[in-house]
Order: sequence, then structure tokens, then C-alpha cells
Amino acid sequence: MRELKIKMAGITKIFSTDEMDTHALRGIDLEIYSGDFVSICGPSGCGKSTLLSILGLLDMPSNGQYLIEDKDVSRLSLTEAAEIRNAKIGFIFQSFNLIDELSVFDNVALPLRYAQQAPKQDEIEKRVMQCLEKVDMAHRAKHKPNQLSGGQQQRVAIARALIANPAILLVDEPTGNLDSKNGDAVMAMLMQLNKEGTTLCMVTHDPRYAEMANRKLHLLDGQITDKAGILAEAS
Amino acid sequence: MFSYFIRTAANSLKHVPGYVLTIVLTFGLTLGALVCMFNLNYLLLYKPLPYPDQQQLYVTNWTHHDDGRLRFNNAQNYPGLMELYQQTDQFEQRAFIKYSEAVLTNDDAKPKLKANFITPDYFSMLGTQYVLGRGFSAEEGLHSKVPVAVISYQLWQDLYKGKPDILSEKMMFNGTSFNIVGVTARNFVEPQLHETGRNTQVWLPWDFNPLPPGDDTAWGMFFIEIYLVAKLNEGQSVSQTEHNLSTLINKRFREEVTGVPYFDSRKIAVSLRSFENVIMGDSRSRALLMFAGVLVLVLIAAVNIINLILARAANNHRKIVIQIALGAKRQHIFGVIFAEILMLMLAASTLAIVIAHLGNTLLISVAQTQLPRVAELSLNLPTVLFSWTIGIVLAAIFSLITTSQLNYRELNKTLQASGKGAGLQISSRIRNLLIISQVTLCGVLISCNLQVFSSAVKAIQAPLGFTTESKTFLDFDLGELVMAPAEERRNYIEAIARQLEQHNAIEKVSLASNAPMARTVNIEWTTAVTSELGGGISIGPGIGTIDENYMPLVGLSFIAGRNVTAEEVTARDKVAVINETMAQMLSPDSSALGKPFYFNNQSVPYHVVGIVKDLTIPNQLNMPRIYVPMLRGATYLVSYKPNQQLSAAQLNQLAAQVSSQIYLYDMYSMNDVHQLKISMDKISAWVTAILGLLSLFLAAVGVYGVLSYSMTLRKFELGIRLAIGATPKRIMTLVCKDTMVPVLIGLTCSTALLLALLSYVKNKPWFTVSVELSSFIIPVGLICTIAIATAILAVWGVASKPAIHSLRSN
Repeated sequence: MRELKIKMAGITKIFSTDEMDTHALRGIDLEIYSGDFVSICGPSGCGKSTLLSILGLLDMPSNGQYLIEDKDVSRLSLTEAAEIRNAKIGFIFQSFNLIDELSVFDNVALPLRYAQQAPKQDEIEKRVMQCLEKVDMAHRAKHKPNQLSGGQQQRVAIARALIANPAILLVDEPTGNLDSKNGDAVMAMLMQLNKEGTTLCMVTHDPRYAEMANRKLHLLDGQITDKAGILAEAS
Repeated sequence: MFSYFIRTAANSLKHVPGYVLTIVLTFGLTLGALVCMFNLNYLLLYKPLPYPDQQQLYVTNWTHHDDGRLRFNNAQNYPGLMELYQQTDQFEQRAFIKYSEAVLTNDDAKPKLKANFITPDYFSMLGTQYVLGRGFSAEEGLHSKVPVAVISYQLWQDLYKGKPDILSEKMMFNGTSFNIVGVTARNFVEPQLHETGRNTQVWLPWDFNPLPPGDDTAWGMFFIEIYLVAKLNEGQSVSQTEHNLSTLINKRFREEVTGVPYFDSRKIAVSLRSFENVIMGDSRSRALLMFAGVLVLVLIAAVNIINLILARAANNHRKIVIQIALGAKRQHIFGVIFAEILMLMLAASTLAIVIAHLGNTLLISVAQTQLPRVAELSLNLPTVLFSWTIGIVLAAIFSLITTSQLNYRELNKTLQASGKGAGLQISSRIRNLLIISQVTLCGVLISCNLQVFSSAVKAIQAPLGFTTESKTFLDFDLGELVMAPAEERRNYIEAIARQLEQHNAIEKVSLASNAPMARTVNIEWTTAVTSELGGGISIGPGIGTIDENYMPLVGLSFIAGRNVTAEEVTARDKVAVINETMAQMLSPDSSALGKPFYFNNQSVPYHVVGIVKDLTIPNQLNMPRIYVPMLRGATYLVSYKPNQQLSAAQLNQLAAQVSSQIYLYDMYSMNDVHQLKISMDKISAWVTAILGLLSLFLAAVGVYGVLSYSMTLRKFELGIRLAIGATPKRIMTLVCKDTMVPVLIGLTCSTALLLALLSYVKNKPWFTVSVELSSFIIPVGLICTIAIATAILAVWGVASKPAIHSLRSN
């Protein structure tokens, strides 16, 4: 039986200003199991990024319950959220978000250095190089991000997301800043990772890539409008 | 074209009042302090004294050496000065001055006035102008005995309320009635040769200088309050004149003191000190140091302002890009930036002139006794030009720095990329450089200030060896009774003591010639004593005559021996109590108790019966002291009961009960004297504390400004770190570590600068501050703490919010 990695129940997110409240998410219920590849689609402003931020503990929900591997993470301090993010979640961003001052190696090693029990240096080196080999970037370990192409930067970002063996990989428009050739290559890599057992949750505008997921969610005005797939999978 | 730039700049600045206010206030205030210091230094270093041919005006100064060893400086005698006065071929003009005080007895309040006894040339030499009347004429010169007086404008206003017929008034001093013949002009500036801040109120002819009989002919008695001032003939050699005068004085001195063993090896050198050197003393180095301190403060403020200007340029990059799109060249961009900065700097410079004016007023009211010529301070053209020049030069420098950060080619690229891509940023190198320079300047300034501050606080807090609380020194003038027979005079002196003792407000009374702490260092009565008759160890101690009540009243503790007794005082026995320093000098190898010593020209020795601890007088080296039992004059040290004190009028009433001729001549409390002696230390402590805190504050604001800007640039990067699991604590630690790199470089630079400065000044004679390690360590601690605090404050907006806030703001 597959393990329940993520469970959201009645998640809402309200952004308040002096003049008005904006309901970005309205009662999201969601379950993600190990090995899932979930894609989230929807028009601009439907709440995709907000949902991904809450899934990744980059932001906290206004209401509702959120469990990661049965641990309630709905109300965490910033430090606790950071620790869980480090241990359980890997991020892949549209704009790669590598740190320019650090080498490829150091960018990938960063999550390990932030871990509560940081591995020893030789262990870090071993794991970083394994991850870089996995994305075929080992030969660029000493380069700075600005010396790489967009596709290469995204592969490094994938390596960084994988380094801490996260429970789930959150992917935000991974091909948005890439040409179609590089975009396809990145998607192929993500598919391969999923095939090897990595749980993925991806936000995308591109229906072609959304179709590659085994579960597809559609968001509209902060609500999941089509749950058929989910229900079918969950049962 | 430039007027267009100015109009554009004015319009642009209208929209950023906070930015304008911050720059104008920060720079206006600090530059104001600098302009004020410039004004002071201009006055002390460059502005000539306000006397005709001031470079030809000199004061004689006698230096005494025994076997080549310096014995006294600036001690002259009457007959010697008279010899010099008669050397008319050596001087174009010359005059005597004696700085003194005199009680105006024909005024009900019997005020004590600062009186100078002079010869007529004094006024003409200074080119003195009069608001009324005249100075002394040649007929009122030496040996003429014409009782006339010239008063100061201030005394005319204060005492006589500007009475128009003042020239018909008389002034009574020491039983002589003087006709007022002149009032000096309001703008007359007296040369303060004797004491900084002392303003003479009345000038009287030299002939009326009250001297004890014999003093005017005694070659062996030297005084520090008498001067011969002279105007040298044009082109006359100073060194040749000094040689001539020294030869003359030594020849005459030798003739007159033959047979006095104490003077066997005495050599007197007569030097001519220019008015400028005497009046200025060491004030120029002090004023320069203050200028340097404020200059560093201005530099710190300037670094802050550069940071603000650069941040504004970064914010305005879009506007600059549009201007480039419309064909603006590099010099146009410079012009726009320069016009804006120039307007700010000129506004700040104008504010600085106002601040400098306020600073001048403050200095005139508080520093007249600490710094010479302060009363002459006023805003003048050089000061105004200095302020505006600084403003214009800095505007040009700031504009060049800002323009150098604008990479014209990169801006063009931004344009070609339709505004996509990163905006203009201040490079991290420049940001680090700003922090390094802030920290370096701040480190140097705080460390220097701390050295002076700690030295001043030590002087303020130094235990005196006695309590000053409730103790007051009283000096009564016996008037004509001073001519009475010794026994009768003694009766009057003792009667005053009894009157004082019987008063409810007074706890104890001692008949003593000196207060434990004299009002100025120069009025200690000193004479030579030797350990053997006509030889042995020769010492120049301070002498005080005391009664048996003095030691208990002052509270000086005995190291050995005993106090003098009432019988010894009455019998004027040849015994003495001496202090530790005197004991050490008199008998270096064994106890001085019981040891004899001889006063100059006396064959009967005094014997030491007691040794007391040294008094510690602020900013004065411990001197040997001798206390002999004797009643010498109507001078008293009294100790008041708690919360009690007698006014001059009450004391005069007490004196009048003894005789109507007796009145209070002088009165000062030990507390007041102590406060006076540490006043310069207090000012130093305040100034350095304010400067130090101000520099720390400015540096903190500057470092925060740079860090805050850095945080804006790094926000997204820190967001990424948060996203991949960095805790807020880690983010804060990271930013603190990053901040500490330039801070530590800055501290290293400041330490290196301080060491270089120290190695330069440590052997300078004016460098008297004892260097302490803590003055290096404390600034390091303070600056590190401030840097960490500002770093945490700057990163707080990122670390204290969910990571999405940082990621979203990109």
C-alpha cells in the first residue's frame, strides 16, 4: 500500500489589506501519496503559486489542516517550518533560483549544510557529486551559475532539490524559462525521477507537460474544480 | 543648461522631503561643528592680534637655572625689571604690567576688581581706543604718583550703568582716591598675558602697586604676576636683544646677590616671548585636535551621505535610462546628478553657517577661561567661504563617485533589453568600502575620544587627599591697620577668628596663609630651603603658615610625627610639618622626622615634627610643601556646618564688629576651586563623550543604511536559502558573518591608523594622555555590537517573515 505523504483538509488562504480581503485558496482538500506525480493547472491568479507555497511551507494557511507524513504542519514557527522544509521538501523553481555567488557544487550542497544534523564534508561531497551525476552536471561542479545555460541551471536546481532525499519535490513552472528542447529534457528528467520513486507536485501552465502527470488538478478561484482523478486514485 | 539641471533637481527633490531633510540635517549639523572649529582655528592660527605692529610686541620671561638645571620659569624681580625698563635703546616702547586685584572701598558692596598696574606706554603700544576720555599720559608715568584710573567698557556698564559723566567719578583703592580719566572702547581686546579669560576691569598707574616694603629692591625675591612688555624696534634681532638683556640681568644679579650661597650657581636667561605665543599657549594644538575630531565626524557623515546618494541613484536608474534614450551624454547625466547634490550641499552649508554661529555663541559663553581670544569669535568671510567651498567640493566629489557607479554602457544595454534584467545596483565592493570606511573612521574617533575621556574622568575623580566639602578660604583686608604694631595687628587677626568661631554657621576656624587648594597654580608662596646651612640638598617647596587647627580642619592624615601646637604657633617655634614629597626630597634614605632644614639666608634651622600625606591637586604635579606654625595675616580657612554658608556681606558685618577698617578682600570655597581646576577635564569629558556617541550613532546609521540596501538586494537570495531549509537564525548568522568581514577589515584599518598616530605623537611634548589598552578594545566591542545589531535589524524583515515574502518581492 502506498504511503500518504501529504494531506490537506479545508485549507484556505486569505490575504488581507486595509481595504479588502482576498481569498486566494478556498477550502482545498488534497492527498498526495508516495510515487505520485501531481500536476496543478489553472489560469493566472487562480491560486496555484499560493497552494505551492503552502505545500512547501513557504507560507502558512489561514485555516485548515495540513499534514506531511502524518505530522501536522498547519501551525509551525518559522524555524520549525524551515527544518521540515529542509528535511522533507525539495523545490524546483521556474527561474532556477541558484545563488550566483556560490559554485554549482556549493549550491547543491546548501540544503545539507542547513540540515539539523549536517553530514560530514566527505559525505556531503559524495552525495553532491552523486546528485550532479544524476543530472549529468558533475563536470560543471566548480562553475558559477552564470556560466551555465538555462537548461543546465535547471538541472543543477533539480540536483539541489534532490540532495536531502525529500518526501516530495515541489516544482514551479520548471520549463517556464527554457526553450522547448531544454524544457523537454527537464521534463524527461522529472519523469525519470518519478519512475524511480520520487513524489512530485508540479505547477504548470503547459497542458502538454501537465498531461505527463498521473494525477491532474485544476484550480479556479482558489478551489479545485475537478477532483475526479484524485478520487479515483485515492480509492 | 545648468539652470535647467537646477530646475529639474529642485523639482525632483520636492518629491523626497525625507531624503532632503536627512542629508541637509546630517551634513548641516556636522559641517556646522566643523565650520565652528575652522572659525576657532582661523582665529587662533591665522588672524593677527588686534594691535598695531603686533609682530613686534614681546613679553620678557626669565628662566632660572642652577648648574644648568631648570629651577623656575617666568619668575622676575622688581629691580631687575626696572633695569630692563631703563634700556630705552633696546625697545621702541615698553611698559610694566602687574596683574592684581583691588577692593573698591568707596562702593557700598566693596567689590573686588581685577586691577592692572601699568605704565602709560601700555595703552599706546596696544593702540587702545576709548569710548570716553583717554589713557595715561606721559605725565602720569613712573614715579609721578598721579592717582588716575582707566576702566573697561564692561565695568562702566556693569558697575556704573553706563553713566555718561563717569569721568567725574572717583574710585578708592587702598586708601587712595583715583580720578577716572578714560573708558576703553567696547571692542578693545586686552592681551591676556597672565591668565586666559581674565578681563581687567580697571587700570591704575604702576606707582600705586601695593608692595610690602623692600620687595621693589629685593634681587632675591621673584614674582610671577609682573611683566615687562615691549615693542621692539623694527628689524631688531630678537636673539641679539635677548642676549643683551640676559647679560645685563646676570651681571646686575651677580653683583646684588654676592655672598648668598643659594644663588651661587644661578643663571638667569631673559627671553622675549611674542604676545602671540604667550596668549596662545598650547591652545593651538588643542584647537587643531578638536578640528581633527570634528573632521572625522564630518567624514563619517559624508560616508553616510554617499550611501544615501548612491541608493537614490540606484532607485533613479530608470529615469537615467530614459534620459539616455533621449540622447543624454555622460556629462549630461553628471550635470543632473551634480545639480541635485549641489543644491543639497549648499543648503547644508548654509545650515552649517547658522550652526557655527550658535557654536561661536556657546564657545564665547563657556570657553573663555579655557581658550584664548574666544571673545573675538564671530562669523567672518573666510568662515562663510570655507563652509560653501566644502559644500561645493563635496558636491563635486559625491557626483563623481555616483557617476562612476553608473556604468553608461550597462545602462545602454538595459535600454536595449527593453528594461528587462537587473536594475542598477551599487556594487558589493562599494558597499563593503562604505562599511570599511565608516568603521575605520568611527574606530579612530571613538578610540581617541575614549583616551581623552578616560584621562579626563580620572582627573575628575582623583581623590584629593582631603575633603573640600563646606570649606572656604577667607582673606580680610586690614586697611590702615596693617601698619599697626605687630602685637596690635595680631590682636585684630585673632579677634576676627573669634568672631568667626562664635558664629552659628561655622564649625571650625583655622588661621592659615594658604588654602589647601589655591585658586591658580601660580599663587603658591615658595622659597628655597636647604638641608644644610648654606648647602646640602636644595628644595623649592610651597610654604604655608598654619595654626594647630589647620590639619584637623583640612583632614590631612599624618604618616609620622605630630601636629603643631598652639604654643608653637604663639611662640613661632622653628618646627614644621612637611608633606611626603618634601620628606622624600629632604631625606631620601631615612625618615625626615626630626631632620633640620634652613630657609634661605637664615642660620637657625627648622625641625620636622610631622609628615603628612600629599595633597593631590588636579592637573598639578605633587610639590613639596612645608607647613610652619605662625600667624601671618588675616587669612582663614573655615569649615561650615552642614547646609550653612556666610555671604560676603555677613562676613563684612562680622569684620566690622572688630574694626570698621577691616573688610573681606577675597573668599572662595574649596569645592568651587576644585570644580574650577577640573573644569577643563569636565569639558573634555563632555566633548569627547558627545563626539564619541555622535560618531557611533552616525556610523550605526551609516552601516544600517548600507546593510539595509544590501538586504534589499539580497532579499531574494535569502528567500531562496529560506526555501531550501535555512532557519531564520541561520539567515541572521549568515548576514552577521557577511557584515563582520568589512567591519573587521575596518577595525584593522582603524587600529593600524591609531598605532601610526600613536607612534607619531607619543614623543611630542604636548602629548600627555596615558594610552590605555581599553581604549582600543572598547571601540572594537562597541562597533562589533553595533554592526551585529544593525545587521540583525536589517535582516529582520527577511528572517522574521515566511520565506514567500522574500521570494515574492522579486
